[in-house]
Amino acid sequence: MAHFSKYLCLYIFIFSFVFAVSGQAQEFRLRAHHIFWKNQEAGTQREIDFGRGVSAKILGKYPLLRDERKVHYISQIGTGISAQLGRPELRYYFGILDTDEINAFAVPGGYIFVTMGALKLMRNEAQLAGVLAHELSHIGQKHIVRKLKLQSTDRSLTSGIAQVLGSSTLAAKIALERLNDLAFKMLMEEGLSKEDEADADQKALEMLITLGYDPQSYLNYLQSLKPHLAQGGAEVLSKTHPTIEFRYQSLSEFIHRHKLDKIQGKKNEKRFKKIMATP
Amino acid sequence: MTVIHQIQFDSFLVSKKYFLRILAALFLLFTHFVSESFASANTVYIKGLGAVLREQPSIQSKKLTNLSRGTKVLVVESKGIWQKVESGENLGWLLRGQISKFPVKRKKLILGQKIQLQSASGRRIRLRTFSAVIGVRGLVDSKGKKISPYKTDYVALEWLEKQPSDEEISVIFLSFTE
Amino acid sequence: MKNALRKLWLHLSLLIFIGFSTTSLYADDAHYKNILIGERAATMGGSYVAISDDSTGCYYNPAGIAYAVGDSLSGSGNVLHKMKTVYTEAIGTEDWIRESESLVPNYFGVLKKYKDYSFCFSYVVPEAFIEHQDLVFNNPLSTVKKYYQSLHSEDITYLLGPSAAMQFGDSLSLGLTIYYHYRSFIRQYHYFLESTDGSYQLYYGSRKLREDGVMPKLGIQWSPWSMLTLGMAVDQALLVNSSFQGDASYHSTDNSTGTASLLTTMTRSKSETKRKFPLHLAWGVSYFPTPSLLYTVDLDYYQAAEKGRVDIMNYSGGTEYYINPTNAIRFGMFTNYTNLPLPDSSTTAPYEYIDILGASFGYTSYSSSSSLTVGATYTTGSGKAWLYSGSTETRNMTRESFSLLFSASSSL
Repeated sequence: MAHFSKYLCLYIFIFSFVFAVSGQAQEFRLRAHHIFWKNQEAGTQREIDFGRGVSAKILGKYPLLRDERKVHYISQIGTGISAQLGRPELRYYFGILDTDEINAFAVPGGYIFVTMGALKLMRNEAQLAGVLAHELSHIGQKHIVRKLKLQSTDRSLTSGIAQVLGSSTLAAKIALERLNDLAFKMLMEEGLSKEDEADADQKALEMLITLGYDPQSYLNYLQSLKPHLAQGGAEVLSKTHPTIEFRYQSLSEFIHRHKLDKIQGKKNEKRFKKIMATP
Repeated sequence: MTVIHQIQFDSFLVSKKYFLRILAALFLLFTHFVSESFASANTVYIKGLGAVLREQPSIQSKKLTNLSRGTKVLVVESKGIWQKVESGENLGWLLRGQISKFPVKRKKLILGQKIQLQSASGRRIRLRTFSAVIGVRGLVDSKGKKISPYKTDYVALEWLEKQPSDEEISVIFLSFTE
Repeated sequence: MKNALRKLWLHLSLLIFIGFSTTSLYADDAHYKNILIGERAATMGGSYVAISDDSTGCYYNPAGIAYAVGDSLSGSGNVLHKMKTVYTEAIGTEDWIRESESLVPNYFGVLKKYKDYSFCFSYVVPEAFIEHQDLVFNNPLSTVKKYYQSLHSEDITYLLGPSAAMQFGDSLSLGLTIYYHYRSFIRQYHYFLESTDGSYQLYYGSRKLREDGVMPKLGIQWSPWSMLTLGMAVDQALLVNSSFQGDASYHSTDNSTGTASLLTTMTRSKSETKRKFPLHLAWGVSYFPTPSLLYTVDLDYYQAAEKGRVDIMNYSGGTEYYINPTNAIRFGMFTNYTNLPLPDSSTTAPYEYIDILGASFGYTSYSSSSSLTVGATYTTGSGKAWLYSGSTETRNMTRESFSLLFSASSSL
């Protein structure tokens, strides 16, 4: 027993000097089955439930356009893209926000919104496909969830949401509301990093090529956003989409690096204009 | 007599040790090589409704075959936004956006489950009702401070979710070229 | 010829008394790794000190449970453990075979994570030796008409208690387990011997022992680099209460001189002597190169606390490989060395000097929130036994054991 207490004291002595800091789980310990099941239904359902909350807030701020013809068109383009290149376990929803602001939102769980202001700026279907593809890739890459994870005081957003959704106490509901607010605030005010946006642009371009659309059209759309910023028209856009200039340059360089400028593709200008023209 | 027993005892133990060591070495070798050839990092799946396998990493290159959703392929080489994959007898190039690191379920099953997710479970209804209440009255905590300053509109969200959508028809709609 | 027969007869009668001297009271306290605990650890040779990241970890290294992935519930529902010891030519020209078979749930644990802390409650059966033996010999010797021996023995140790662990930064964790130690040992032995001249011997003995104690276990885990973990744990059991009672009654008649005489003795002995447990230090290294593969090696050092025992070091190692995300296989090997000192020319019975080696393997099937494991452990060893009280004569002995395990665990 003397030996034992000697060792015990030694250990306590050494580790009383260690400061307690919030630690992250050791990722390398995760076994194949942990990683595999992280991507299955349970996690997806939580993501969808969370996304609905944020979407409801977006719709609380901007009215939803109930023009069935336009919505159906956007939805078909969007669903067609997501069916081939989106996350297979999600169903994606595409809505139009009735506002002149030029913006688009991607919400975890598969909810994508584009504003009328943005649609009015587009010239053809390839540009619309590009914007939708850009938003799709935010959801696919889980940029938003990752960013929230960094800001949230919880160690893991998914487990945090899980605990909160699993519980039915008022405290839990309040916590869920706070998480939702955080996500909404971020979408409206802060936005994602320049790098994440540029990454989404690149992924969108690859998707356009895969689908046979004209990649140059998307670059032109980014170009067309510039004057609107200069005039101060798209205030929200400038806050949540860091310099369009940076994105334009990054994308141009990406196209050049991978020799994608020679690729031709469809624009479907007539079909686009026909739907958008109707009041 | 004692001496003889001693020797027998030692050699018996030694041969058992030797045997077990060989077994261990073989097993370690096995797992190492097996993990190399089935390297999980290189096994990927085709996502979406299908992908086109091409001869060369270029959009104008000849189409070799179509790979359907969920097909398991092995990545052999990468070049820019293209990946060279092997699937059974086929070897060709795919755009990397069409690949998923995680297994993809069969489409019908997923749609079925998605529909199940949408038809409001009891919990979902409670959440909606609660959040709608927040939206109207503005939830306050015990100190009287407003918890969520943001308004919500679940009615609009539900209208959006009720809109018809069909993956196969949408893909056909998308493939139209003027 | 007569001398040889007399020798055999002597052996037989002396052998009969070996069960009762106090030092051979314990089923097998000369070995520390008779049963492997837990489904993942047991199928990797019991090498787990630098992993321990699930509810089984509470037993091997409580610091590891700080890294558990979610809350879990784990139970080794059934462990079928069979052991066979053979003493060559120990009863005359016959081998003496002792077999033990037990079916015990040897592990149960519940783990709960809360922020940076992990809590666990576990129940472990590290020793379970159950022996039932009935031997009948007709005319084993020319002077013996019938010899009948019956032995029933159950010796089970239980550990039960809570654990807690905490993370300090990304790469360090500390954990503590406090087990309540409980041991229940019951042995009943009797034999009957009838000689050809009509005399007989009748013996009945019963032993009971109960131990209560505490076993604290302190552990630490450190990951200096990604994919590598070092672990260390220390424990020592301390008995708080130990009560032993032994009863024996012996009757014999002797017709050798022509007149019958009867001898009867009845004894009872009691003891409160508390057994001293060794200090156990364990070190482990684990390497996690991919989510599908891991290698681990453990060293277990036991510092003897009782006279007549030596310090020993056991080695173990194992590997885990995922064929695909829902199926994994494991393999491991370990040593189970004796803590008795090397025998010499003056060693007399009772004494057994045997080192054991073992190997285990297992398969686990995973679903989204639960897993099912089947596995097996095989051990083998050979050595020498001193069986005849007061004699330095030895017999060869071998010991083999086989365990089959079925286990399930689920995430809460």
